[in-house]
Amino acid sequence: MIYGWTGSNLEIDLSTGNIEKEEADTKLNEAYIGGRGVGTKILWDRVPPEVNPFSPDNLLIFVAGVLNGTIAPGANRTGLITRSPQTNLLTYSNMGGFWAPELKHAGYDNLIISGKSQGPVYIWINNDKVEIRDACHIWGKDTAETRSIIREELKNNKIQILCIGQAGENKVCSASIEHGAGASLSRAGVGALMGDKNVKAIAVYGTKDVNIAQPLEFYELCQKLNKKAERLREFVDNWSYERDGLLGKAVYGNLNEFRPMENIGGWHDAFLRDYRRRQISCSNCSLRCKHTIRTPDDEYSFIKCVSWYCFIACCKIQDLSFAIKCYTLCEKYGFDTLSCAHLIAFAIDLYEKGILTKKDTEGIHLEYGNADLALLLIEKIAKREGIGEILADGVYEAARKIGKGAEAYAYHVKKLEIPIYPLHHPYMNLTQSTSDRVDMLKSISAIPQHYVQKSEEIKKEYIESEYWPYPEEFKEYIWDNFDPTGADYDRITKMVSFDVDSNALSDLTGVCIFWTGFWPFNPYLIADHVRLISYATGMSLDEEEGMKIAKKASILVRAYNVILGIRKKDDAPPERFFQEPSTPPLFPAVDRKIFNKTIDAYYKLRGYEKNGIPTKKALDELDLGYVKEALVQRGILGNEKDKKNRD
Amino acid sequence: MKKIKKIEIDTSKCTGCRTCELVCSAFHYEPKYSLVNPTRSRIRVFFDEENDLYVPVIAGPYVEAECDGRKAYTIKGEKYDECCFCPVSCPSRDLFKEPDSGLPLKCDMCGEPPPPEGPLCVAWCLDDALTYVEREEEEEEEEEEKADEKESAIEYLIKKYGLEEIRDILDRKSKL
Ligand code: SF4
Ligand code: SF4
Ligand code: SF4
Ligand code: SF4
Repeated sequence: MIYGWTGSNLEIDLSTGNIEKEEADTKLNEAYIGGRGVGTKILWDRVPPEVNPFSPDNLLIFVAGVLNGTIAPGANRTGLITRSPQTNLLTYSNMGGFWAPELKHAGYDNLIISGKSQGPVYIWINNDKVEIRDACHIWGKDTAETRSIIREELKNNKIQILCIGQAGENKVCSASIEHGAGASLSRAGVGALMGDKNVKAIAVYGTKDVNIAQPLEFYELCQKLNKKAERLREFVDNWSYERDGLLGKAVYGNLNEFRPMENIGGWHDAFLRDYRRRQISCSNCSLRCKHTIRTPDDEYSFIKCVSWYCFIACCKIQDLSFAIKCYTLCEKYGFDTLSCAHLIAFAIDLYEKGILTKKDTEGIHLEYGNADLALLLIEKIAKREGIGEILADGVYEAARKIGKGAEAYAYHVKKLEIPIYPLHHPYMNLTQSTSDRVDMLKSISAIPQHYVQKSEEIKKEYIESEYWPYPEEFKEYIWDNFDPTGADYDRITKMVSFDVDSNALSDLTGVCIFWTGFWPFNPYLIADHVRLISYATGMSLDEEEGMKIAKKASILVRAYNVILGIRKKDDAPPERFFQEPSTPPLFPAVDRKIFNKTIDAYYKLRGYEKNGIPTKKALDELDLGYVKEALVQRGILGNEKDKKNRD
Repeated sequence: MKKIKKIEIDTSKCTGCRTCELVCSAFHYEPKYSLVNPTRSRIRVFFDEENDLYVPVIAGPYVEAECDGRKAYTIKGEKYDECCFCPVSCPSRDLFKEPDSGLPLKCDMCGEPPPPEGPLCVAWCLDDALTYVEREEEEEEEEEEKADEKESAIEYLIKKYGLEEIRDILDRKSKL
């Protein structure tokens, strides 16, 4: 009997229509644990870097974590590993909700989709019965309509669905894959890949067991974690943008201004008072961090996190009902809110600078503060109409097409639009610059930023509490506030390196990082996390081994992207952050010398050479000998030219 | 007087997390907690996210025939048929039946005696959508449900596989 994992993968080749249930490689599971680790290894083996993301040979690898489908609190993330059409890199998206747990109950750890269908289809996974069904009648429908049509058609309201909207169908580079209730696989254009493969939706339903190797120990630890979560529930409930202070700082327009959001506390209150109807949760989570809202058009919608203020900031419209309209529209079209808001600001900025003119916009006048215009632009981009066609491939590609100096205003990291958040904060800057896929929340922790600002008393209580998540030696790091210039990069790099691995561990198990590493009072410590893996699967694993596998997964991603050309030059924030302080001057402009030193120190910790390539030694230590060989074979490691660059 | 044990449901507090489903299924398996499978659970959450509706339904008795009433409910402008909120294990659907055997499932309040933390769905629902109540009440109808549950399970099997086959199996088993 197999525990924790289901032991099977589902392979679907859309070109031939071939559907195969395959026994998973148990060695692979033990070496990479699951989720992102296993998925990345599959991609490494089967999709050579030369493959174009829009080629039938690119794979969509949907992964469940090893703890998904169990009673481990917060274990519900669905992961997707593929090659991004926007960045061309190996990219990873993850979301909450119910999809991956359902996939496991249907009997699969991973779903691997290859090829390309001739016409629109959707995939229906009902335990062992898997069908590729015609989707002509749903093509062109929005994501909410798509879900309800499929639920009706399959006569089962318990199925879980992933689907794309019009943006994905039109292969817009910021298209997302929507699951509903505020959960989506987004960033880097993963939705466009489903559109390219002609897959409108993937529905799954399962009635099978997920087995647990050491049931009693597993149960008791889960119970303990739920109890520990009380403190976090309280914290999340009472959390406000205003009190937190940090998240209240935003980027207005197309990085035109860095300043605190106006009256953000007031909005938060208005949001709770006028719009929110209910707090909802993903599968098996008691943190209920998502909200159902009643929209201005009297429909229900969902919202989470920063999504609700990116349109406010980018369009410079201080109106919550506007933000909710945009958000809801994006969810319907299947559109990454962050990139979408950025694209609008980018277009307006270029228009104001005279780089885009009425000729490019079909006579539309672009300006900040115009709600109807913003909504129109969302539609135009999702449908690739008019100016939308230029913007649909992201700011980097759009600037390249437009020329006339537009490149200087395309703010991205590795071709992906950045969060609407000033990257001056040294911790933020380092995480976002070095991430393989820049985003707000997937690779960071709020703790370093949160706690350094607290009173001595609170800090002391925290580091002595059962919630302290870091190694012993980090305790001294939170006594002083961070130096705004980042000159104290020693502790920052160590914290970032730890957080990246700790969050990568969550990517293997499928536990939401709100439980493991994001907030203060995370219930899971690394020790609990690896113990749960052991109890669930029966494999023996200690903290060190667990963190090593987590690191291995993230270095594997790095190595793949290094083959695609990623080097030190790409691990940097947009140029503007080196020139402009945030106002009021909370942070000075990023100091290039300090930043370079920070990167060097960070590379050392990660085991990279000065140019950002993993060293032979680091690869050997992580049992990534095959990666080393590949890098040598391609002349990336041990190659004279590169050595020269290093010196 | 008789002690009535009940779980009261407050749908307005339900977050739709379905922890209750997972933990119920884990508890009712030997060895305890050795598997998780919501379709084996004796509590299921009916949800319509698009209409902000989350309704935990606790499994009641097995019935032999589906009902004819099919009342319709209108909630926030949407129509739902009676089956959506119906607690019984009925031939019209798979809900509240073991997925492999088809045996009907019924809430047993987590057995007698219940675990120290009380009925598990209640203990694991941190949002108080479920509350366990015990009340002394005048003795009323039914309430020989314990026997009923086993009997109805066997009746169900007989209906599904025929009396002969079930008798054969029982004979074989009793010889072990
Ligand atoms: S913390 Fe929020 S996002 Fe994470 S699992 Fe819970 S409800 Fe979902
Ligand atoms: S555990 Fe509670 S909140 Fe969660 S679905 Fe069940 S009844 Fe609703
Ligand atoms: S499930 Fe539906 S058909 Fe069956 S008894 Fe209940 S309401 Fe009647
Ligand atoms: S009381 Fe026990 S048996 Fe009944 S639904 Fe809740 S967990 Fe299941």
